[in-house]
Amino acid sequence: MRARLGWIILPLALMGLIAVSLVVGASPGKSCTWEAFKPLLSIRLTRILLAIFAGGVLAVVGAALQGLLQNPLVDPYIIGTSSGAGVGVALSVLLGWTTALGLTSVIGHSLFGFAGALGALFLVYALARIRGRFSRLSLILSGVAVGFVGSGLITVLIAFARDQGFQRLVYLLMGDVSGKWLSAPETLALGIGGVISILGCIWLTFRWRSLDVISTNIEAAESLGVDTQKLTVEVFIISAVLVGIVVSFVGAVSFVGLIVPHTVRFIFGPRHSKVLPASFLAGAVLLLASDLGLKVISIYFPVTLPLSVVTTLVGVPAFLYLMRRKTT
Amino acid sequence: MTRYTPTPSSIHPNASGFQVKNVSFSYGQKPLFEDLSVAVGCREFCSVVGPNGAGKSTFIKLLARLLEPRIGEILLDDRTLRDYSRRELARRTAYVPQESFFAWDFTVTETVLQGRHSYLKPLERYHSSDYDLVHASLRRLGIEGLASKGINHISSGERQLAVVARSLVQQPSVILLDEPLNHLDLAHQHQALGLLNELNQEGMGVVLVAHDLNQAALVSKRMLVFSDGALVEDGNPDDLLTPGMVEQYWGIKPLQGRHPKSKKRQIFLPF
Repeated sequence: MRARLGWIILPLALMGLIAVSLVVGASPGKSCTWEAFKPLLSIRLTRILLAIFAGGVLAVVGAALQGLLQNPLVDPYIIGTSSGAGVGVALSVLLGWTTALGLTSVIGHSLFGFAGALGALFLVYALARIRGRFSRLSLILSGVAVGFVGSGLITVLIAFARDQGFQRLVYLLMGDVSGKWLSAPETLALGIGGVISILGCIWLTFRWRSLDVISTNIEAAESLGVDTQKLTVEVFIISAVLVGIVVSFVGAVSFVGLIVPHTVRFIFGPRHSKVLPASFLAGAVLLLASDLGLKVISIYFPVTLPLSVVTTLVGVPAFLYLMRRKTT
Repeated sequence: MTRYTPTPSSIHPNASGFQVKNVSFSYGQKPLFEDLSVAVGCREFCSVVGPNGAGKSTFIKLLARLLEPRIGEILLDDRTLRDYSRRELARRTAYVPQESFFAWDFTVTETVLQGRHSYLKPLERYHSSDYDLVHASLRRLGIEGLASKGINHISSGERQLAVVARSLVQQPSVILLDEPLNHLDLAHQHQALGLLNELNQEGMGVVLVAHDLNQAALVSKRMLVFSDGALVEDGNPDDLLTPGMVEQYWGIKPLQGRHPKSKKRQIFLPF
């Protein structure tokens, strides 16, 4: 019953938010003609698409990783890949290499972000691997360690950045779906990134049964026919690709990948055939709503806040609540 | 409606069971088995006993390929275990661990359904025949009343029964159980042992790691005694279960008697 209601409410909420987001935003001046509104529309549409795709993807990756690692407190941030992606993007922005190589900057950032995420991933994997196998606890612990090192590196890189680069980095690393850094040809990159992300999410969703089965003892899961090592590698690599793409487009938006899957499980039950698609919708709703909140704030106050401020202010209390519920 | 009973699947008519050939295994530096060779037929009811740390669990984990031998090989139906995919193996052998943990609160039905994993393609939904198997399996274990309860909201004994039910819907030719009776009360122990007996009579092989020597002697037809990482005795439980044998490997001298009904040999603590 709760689940059926969820399947009705989530798409409705998403559509409602899209409609409101199209209308709300920095004012087009006094004239309210269609001609004045038209350029705004494409900016707002880009922003909406970015929020939907980033929120959806982060939530799906969070759900898949939580399922894989059997831990409701895991998110893409905690396993270190998004810090890795952040380091990659920061390097790319700072060095300006990508334009020198003739790549448009967002494609370049994506490649660097992806490389960073993959690097972090393999570092985590290598650290967690003990005598040819790895336990899921050691994966999480190595992930946290690599994540901290990544954050440290990012801080160092930001310290070296100047003016525009600095501002841009701060927004990239704290999350920004405004898309204001994008130029026209990069819409193509956005499209490619979007398609890859959707395919990745679908792939993860196809693994629903294995993710269900692996939620028990690792040995029981193996004896039920799941190749756990193979599944782990697969989910880790897809997650790294997706996180790399998301971080390079909108920066590291924290807590979406943590809270959304958990809330979704509460409403839809633990089966991953429902959790993964519902997480996509709910993640999109959360980011779109947070971004809308930011837009409304910026109408009344002359500030632009990074997206992570909103998601973290909502996310930290939720995180603490989950932690206390988990331990009591 | 067709009545499905989870019985050994008929797809392996020429199943011949396990052959352990010259297997050595070690955890890190500590060697556990050295040159172990033993065959376990696929229609046998075999109990595995021994003091703590003797290697009982390791033995059945090797059979389930949850651990790999360092030297030597294990054959299942004349094919080395390494050549099986996880899925193939899951259709032939089922493994019931000592204790089970569930990260998410699936219902008992959802949990037992997961036993069908190895029969279904990634995109295939569960069929109504899968549900029928699940219900039949729950009924055989006497826990059909728990079907819609959360797996983390039932007692540990009931959870263990659900795990056994899950292993039955795998339709294995051999079921490997690692001290499955630990959390069960007397009635459930009776039911579980009776069920294992029935399954064996229907043709399913059973390898049961047991702490309780008397129970092992009552239900199994063959007893493997492990001590200090070696297979030390192998035979009919009624011949093996003597005070002398128990004293040799467990270090206490028990009293002995006969079971009032089956007249099988039993031992008692010397109080």
